[in-house]
Amino acid sequence: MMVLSRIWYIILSLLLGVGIYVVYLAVGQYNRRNAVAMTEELASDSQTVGWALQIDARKRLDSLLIGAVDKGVQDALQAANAKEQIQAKVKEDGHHALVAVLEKIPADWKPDALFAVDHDGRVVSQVGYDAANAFPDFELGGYPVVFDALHGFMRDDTWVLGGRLYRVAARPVEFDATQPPLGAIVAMRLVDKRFAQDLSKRTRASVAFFANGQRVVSSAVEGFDENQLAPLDNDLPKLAGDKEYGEGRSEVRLLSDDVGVMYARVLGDAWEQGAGFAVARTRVKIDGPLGFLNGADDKDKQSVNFLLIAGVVLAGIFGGLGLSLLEHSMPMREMERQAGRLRRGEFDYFQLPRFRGAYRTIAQDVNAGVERVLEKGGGAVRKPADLESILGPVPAQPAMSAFSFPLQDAPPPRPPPSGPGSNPGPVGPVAPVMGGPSPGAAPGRPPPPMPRPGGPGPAPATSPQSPPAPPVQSSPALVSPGGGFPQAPGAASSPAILSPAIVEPRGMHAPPPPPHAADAPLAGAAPAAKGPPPPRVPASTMLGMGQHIAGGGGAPPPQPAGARPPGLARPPTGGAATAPNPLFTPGGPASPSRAQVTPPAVPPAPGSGSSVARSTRELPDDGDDEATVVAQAPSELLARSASEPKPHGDTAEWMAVYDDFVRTKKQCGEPTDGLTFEKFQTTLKKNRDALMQRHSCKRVRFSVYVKEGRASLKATPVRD
Amino acid sequence: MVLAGATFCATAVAGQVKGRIFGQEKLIPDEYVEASKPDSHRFTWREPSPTVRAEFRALSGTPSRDLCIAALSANNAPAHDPMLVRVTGGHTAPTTLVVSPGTRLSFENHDPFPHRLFVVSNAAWGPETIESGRRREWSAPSGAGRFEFRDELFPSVRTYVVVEPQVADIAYPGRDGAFTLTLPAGEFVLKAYFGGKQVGRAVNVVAKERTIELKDPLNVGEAPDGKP
Repeated sequence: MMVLSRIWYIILSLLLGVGIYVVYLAVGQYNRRNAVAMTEELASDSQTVGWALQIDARKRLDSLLIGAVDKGVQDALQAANAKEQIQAKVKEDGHHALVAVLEKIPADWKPDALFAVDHDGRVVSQVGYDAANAFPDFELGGYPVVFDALHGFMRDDTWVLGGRLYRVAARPVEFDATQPPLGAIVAMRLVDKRFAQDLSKRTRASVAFFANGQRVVSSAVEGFDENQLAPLDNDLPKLAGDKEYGEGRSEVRLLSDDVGVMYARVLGDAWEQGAGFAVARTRVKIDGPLGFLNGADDKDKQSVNFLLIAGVVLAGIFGGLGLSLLEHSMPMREMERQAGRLRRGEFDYFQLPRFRGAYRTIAQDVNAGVERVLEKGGGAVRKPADLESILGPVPAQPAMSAFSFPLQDAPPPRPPPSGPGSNPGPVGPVAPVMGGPSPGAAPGRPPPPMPRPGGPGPAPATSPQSPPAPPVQSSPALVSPGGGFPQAPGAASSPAILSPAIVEPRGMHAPPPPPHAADAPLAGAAPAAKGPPPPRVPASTMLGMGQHIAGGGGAPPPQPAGARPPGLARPPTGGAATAPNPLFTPGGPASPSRAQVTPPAVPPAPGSGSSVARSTRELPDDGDDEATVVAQAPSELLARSASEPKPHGDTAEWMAVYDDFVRTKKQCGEPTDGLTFEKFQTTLKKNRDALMQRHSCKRVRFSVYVKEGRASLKATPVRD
Repeated sequence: MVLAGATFCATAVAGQVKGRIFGQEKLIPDEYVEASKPDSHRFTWREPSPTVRAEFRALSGTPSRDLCIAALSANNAPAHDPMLVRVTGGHTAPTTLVVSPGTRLSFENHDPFPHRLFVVSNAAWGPETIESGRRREWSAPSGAGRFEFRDELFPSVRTYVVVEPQVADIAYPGRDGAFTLTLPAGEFVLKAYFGGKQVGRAVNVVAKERTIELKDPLNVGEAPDGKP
């Protein structure tokens, strides 16, 4: 029950589980890839900043050429050389010269301080470093960069003076190529905030400079909070033990959960002091699946394919709703609808073909319950009729269908077997066969008498030739299958439903026919009955019972009397076949109900002999329970039907029945070739006429149902 | 050229011994040799100026600061007067000293930023910050010895102190390579020290109450045993 819906739930649950699993995997992979990416980016940043510093040094060296060839600087150095004391005027001239040089240097490479150093390393003049004025003997010659410049080399360096970092460039000042350099010009650029910002802007990296274990200055790119570099101060003292850093560049170190840094030492004297720079980046980390939601910005959200998501959601919703509608709502609605019709009397049973799966089982159980209630109430349960019993034997020829029964213009049927009760007439199109002994069956022991309300004794048998009992006129009595269903006395108290005769399938639910039943005449064939009539059942006891048109197993061809199995009702003699319509063969031979419901004998058609008898004779007691059912008709339905038009307008209804019948046969996998509406209509018409004549009803309603996997027809007499 | 801040006190009867040096162009301070190597991580760019002739690009030291001429007598000398060592410009002046035991050295910071001098392999005189304009004292221990001073903040600062009990006087050559020792009358041995090590051959001198000029200049470009 609801297999697809449950599978749908399983699928959705699996998809949800897979989705969560994938998200968790994605979080792990995302964090791992981000960690790797951060490492690579930091290495790239560190390299980039190193290259930027290298280029910066080169630019500063080149720009210093302006001072190296400046005449004023040369003159000052030449005047200072070889003098124990540097004259003030020389210092002053050198200062002006340096100021002029400083103005000529491009802004991007303009140093913060310029020094003119003589050959002995003494500072002759300086600009931008006034702190040196307090020391007249202030020198620079001991620094390797200045020492190299004084000996003809251009070189850069990085100093740490008083905890401040300086980028230094120096080059010799030459006056005569045949002489050693006069001195050197030295430029210092303080690594301050502006320097760090320019560097960070050029390299797009968050960078911090440090020296002597302390952060000197830092600058962050947009999107990186510079305060995140605060933990750097605590991490710097630990750098001494970093082997990689000792070799120049550290591995990525995490300042916090989301900030990684890579340290690099700067080239120059500062290298020995552990000075360097650090680049930092934020590691984008997702704490969990919901982190994707928290970390998403508007652009991320805009890139989401909401149509796809909406499609998936709607597919999930409508898939589930559709399956539940298909498997639950629709069957329930159908059951509700049929239950309503059942309550209104439009149905006697659930129509099983309209149900599937467990709902069909429920409907079958309900139907079985209804029948059980009927049985307990003394009513006759309906039994399915075999289509062939209704429509006649199915011809063997392919052209013949289940409805290709012999008609008036059809070739005569096979000759009946010799013997009494043989049916010389044509085979009736539909031969409802009473499940019990045929009325024309051999006389014998009558069936058990039906309890008669108000009277202990069995009802007097009614001869088929007897006029119909009055109750029949107003309440078609049940044609008891087998002629011997015990009718509960209480059944008489349910007159609300007109009880049409029930034509039981052969032998279905019927007690074995009594021996005399073989000679008992069918309704309409009563003259053939010789045995004592079965106990008469008051018509009132039939109220509320349905009428079945036996059709189970198909009507076999007439069999010789000798071929009948023991106990099988013997067909009446030919002249005794009084059933005007072969569609119905009243069941019990002397059933009181049968007697009561049996309409006045109708002269049999010439040659028709006793189709009823034949049908009765043809009933093999094989227990085949397929039969067309003449269901009990609800009183309200009958009452309503009274106002309906006469049977002349049944064509449209039959067309629907035909369509339903054909469809049901196809659903049951039965062939429908040759099953034309004309034949179908002819058959129904004959059966209708027979039932109308028998039950004095105004019309007969046919319906289709499935029994044992085969399509069957049910006839319901409707009286005013 | 300014020599060490203090010189030995000459006796009243002392005479002068004048001399000259040569071969000083071969004296290259170790720290600059090291700093010039690419694997020293001390520079990004270091290239010779194309307009400076190669002969001028020798990284020779400065004798007036780096080369110390010491006169040693046969007797132990008393502690000399305190000597001033200026710390500035990435080095000290002088960078090599020869003193008698008990002589006190005063390292004075002439830079506008602090220095942190220490004696290598001597925990007793570890790194201490010398603020700008301040001094830090060090006394030569008894007995002969060689002490290397360095600055924790400036790798180019390397000062060598040679303690010689018999040292009578020291001198530093000028730009022209000339030096003058003031010695009492007697026999002395002149030795040149560079980078805390003796360079050139030792020269015997007999000081008199008058000025004596050495005929042959001291070849400081050779090893003490006379090998180049």
